[in-house]
Amino acid sequence: MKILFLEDRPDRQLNHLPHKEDAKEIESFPALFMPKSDECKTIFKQINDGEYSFDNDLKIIIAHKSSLDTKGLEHINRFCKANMVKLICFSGGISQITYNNEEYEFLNINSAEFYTERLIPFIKHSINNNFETTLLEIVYKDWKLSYMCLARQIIENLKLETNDSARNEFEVKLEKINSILKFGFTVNSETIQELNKEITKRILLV
Amino acid sequence: MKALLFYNDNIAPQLAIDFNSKLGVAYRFQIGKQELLSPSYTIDEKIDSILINELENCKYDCIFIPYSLSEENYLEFIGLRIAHHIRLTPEFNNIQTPIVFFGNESAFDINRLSEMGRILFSRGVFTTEKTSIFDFEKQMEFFTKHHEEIDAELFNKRILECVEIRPSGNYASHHSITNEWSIYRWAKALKIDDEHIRLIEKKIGCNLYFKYLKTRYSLKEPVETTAQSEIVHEPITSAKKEERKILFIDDEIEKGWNSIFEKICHRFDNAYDIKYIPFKRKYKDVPQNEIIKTVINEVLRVNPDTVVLDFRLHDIDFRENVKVKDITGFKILENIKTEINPGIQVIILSATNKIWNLLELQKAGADDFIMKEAPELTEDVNFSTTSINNVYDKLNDSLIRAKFLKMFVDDKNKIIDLINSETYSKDFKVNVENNLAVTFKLLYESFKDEKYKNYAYLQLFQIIEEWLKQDCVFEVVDDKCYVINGNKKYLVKEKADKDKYHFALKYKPNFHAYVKEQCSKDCQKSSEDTYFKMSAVLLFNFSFERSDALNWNSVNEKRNKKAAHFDKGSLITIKEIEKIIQFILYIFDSANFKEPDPDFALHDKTEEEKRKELKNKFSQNNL
Repeated sequence: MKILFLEDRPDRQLNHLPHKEDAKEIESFPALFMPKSDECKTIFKQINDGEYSFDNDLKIIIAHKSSLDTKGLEHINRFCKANMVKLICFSGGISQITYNNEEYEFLNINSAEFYTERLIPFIKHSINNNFETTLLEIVYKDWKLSYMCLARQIIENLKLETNDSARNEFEVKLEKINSILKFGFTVNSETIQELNKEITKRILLV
Repeated sequence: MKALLFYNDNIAPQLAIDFNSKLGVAYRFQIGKQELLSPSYTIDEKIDSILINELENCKYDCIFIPYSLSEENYLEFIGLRIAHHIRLTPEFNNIQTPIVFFGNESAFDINRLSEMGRILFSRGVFTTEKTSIFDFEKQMEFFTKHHEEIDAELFNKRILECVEIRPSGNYASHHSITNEWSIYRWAKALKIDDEHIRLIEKKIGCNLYFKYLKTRYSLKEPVETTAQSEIVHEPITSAKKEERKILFIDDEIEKGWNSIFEKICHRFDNAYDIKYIPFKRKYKDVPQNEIIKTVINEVLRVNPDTVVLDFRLHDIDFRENVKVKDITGFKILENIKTEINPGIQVIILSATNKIWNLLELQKAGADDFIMKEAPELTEDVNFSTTSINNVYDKLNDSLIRAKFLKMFVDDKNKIIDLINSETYSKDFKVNVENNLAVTFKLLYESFKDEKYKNYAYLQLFQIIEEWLKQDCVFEVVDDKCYVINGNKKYLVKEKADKDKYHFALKYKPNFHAYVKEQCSKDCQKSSEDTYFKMSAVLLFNFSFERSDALNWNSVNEKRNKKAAHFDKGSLITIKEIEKIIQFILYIFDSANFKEPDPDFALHDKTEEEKRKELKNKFSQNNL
């Protein structure tokens, strides 16, 4: 099992997914485990009790956040941190997408924004690419645009910064972005014009 | 001159240092993973708490914000969200403070990328691609010279022309919004303060969408209910108050509704021995059928007078294209009205005001509706108090109706059971059932217009008339009338001669009694009417010595002198309805049949007697 999908409200899932057959398709991925209602509740309970043993092969955990308490979320956090497992928490009460890549990839997302037509392609893409994907694929059609704008912000601020240590930190961030973007060119202050053009082009396509 | 800068770790630290030393305060915005992992984390609470600290006690000349404050996902545009909070929260005291957004994107780019980008085109919001301290200083100089605050109301109007916040998420959230808003407003109006209410209050206070609604509808705190604004029943002086049961069914009962309805129900304390029964069960993750079954079992167990029923109790109910008939509340309503007792009053609690939903619910028997208070309805500060008083009135009306209608339905069912256990004609059985169904509707309507009680009475009386037409009750053969008592027949009237009749009962003032007499043609007419027939039946089927037993005289008189004359202001009372129902129940129950002394009845002549009589006649004629 590579993806653990914990949804204890299957009706809500059906409500949100764009097509009726989507839920069945999600279940059909051999690499994905989506326990049924009672089993799911048992797993949530074990997680909240800090007793659930996650499969060592796991790459992504997707969980309904409202069913997790502080202890449960900490239990998942420890596992994700130790194993670099990506975590998606969805809930109806989340009003703003929040993405965090500190130690491991984490996405806080509203249920309605999570259950969209991007979900199944994301799962497929993750499985086919050995999970070398970003969780932002679930959120945006053009997730690269986010990294490109981020890169531009960093490049512009590099110009303003005089402190070496701070400049170094910016360089590290840029390197990381470059490794994710995998463009034909390295994004840096010299290629800023190219980057600007690419961003403008992509914004127009949004 | 004092400015505020929001920044994150993607902004040059040097800029923050220079800002702190030259222009004002630089605030580093960050959200740690631990924070994000908290079950109670919300972005609005986070921003609200920051802004309370940074803004509440300080009026700035300018606020600088980058479009994006997320270190790893530029497109989150938290900067835009912060600006919305500043503009929509009067408590932060910086509503009109100029806001300068900085970043490499143009306002049009941002507007393409985020719905919140519209704020960039509102009054007092500026954008710049230049992010040096020198440029910021120049901006500040400009504002010092040119910025002027305008009338607060006009400013809000200008903001709202550009800004629109949509509720997060999905269709269900719209209902959640109205739900939480109602709880918040009604709890305030009722002065309820408990843990659940405080949670909602906190949410409403921080949530950007609610802030937007408050600005949009200029919402003020609701007027608290006072002794004057509350409708209080006159105390009932009788030693024992009548018990009334209100069952409350809502999947969000624990989120504050329980406290609200409990308090509203307390207002009935002077009038009734009120039993408020909240049905506290888990609804989430329970299949719809299971919810319906459990609720129905509870209705059967409690036998309430009134059920306050939330319309949507299951996830399925929030589907965008769900049919009204598939919604859990509708199914429960239908079940109560068709399977349990249509007299039980069902008041639908709903956030919907969609007329087609309400019409369908009304058709299925919904007795009333309580609309949750949507924010757009709250422009009037008295709205919540008025709504609560309306809830109280609706509950009160329902309790009055329930007492009588529930009892009527029980009696109606008893009547149907009684006729079904006897060998009446099929037509009669159908007729009675239809009559009773119409009577129920008429009685229901009578709570709006009393004249319907008269119609109901006439309808019930018709059942008596139809019953008397049954051959197994009263038989007319040639010139003879019989009362049928089981397998026995009692001759109560026969033609004696051309103009003469024999009767087994005699009308004395106000009643008939067992007296055999011969009567002239004049009395023949009255002897065929319902009054005579019923009197004969009371004597010969139930062995009463007088026909005014069971209040028959009164029952008959009310029909002729009151029920049929509502136009003259004669209105039938509930007690009179109850009396006629009791009368019907008695006469329909064959267990009440008693055989009278056969000698009280007339005797059919034997063949020998008939021959003798003919002989006599013949000889008399010959003479």
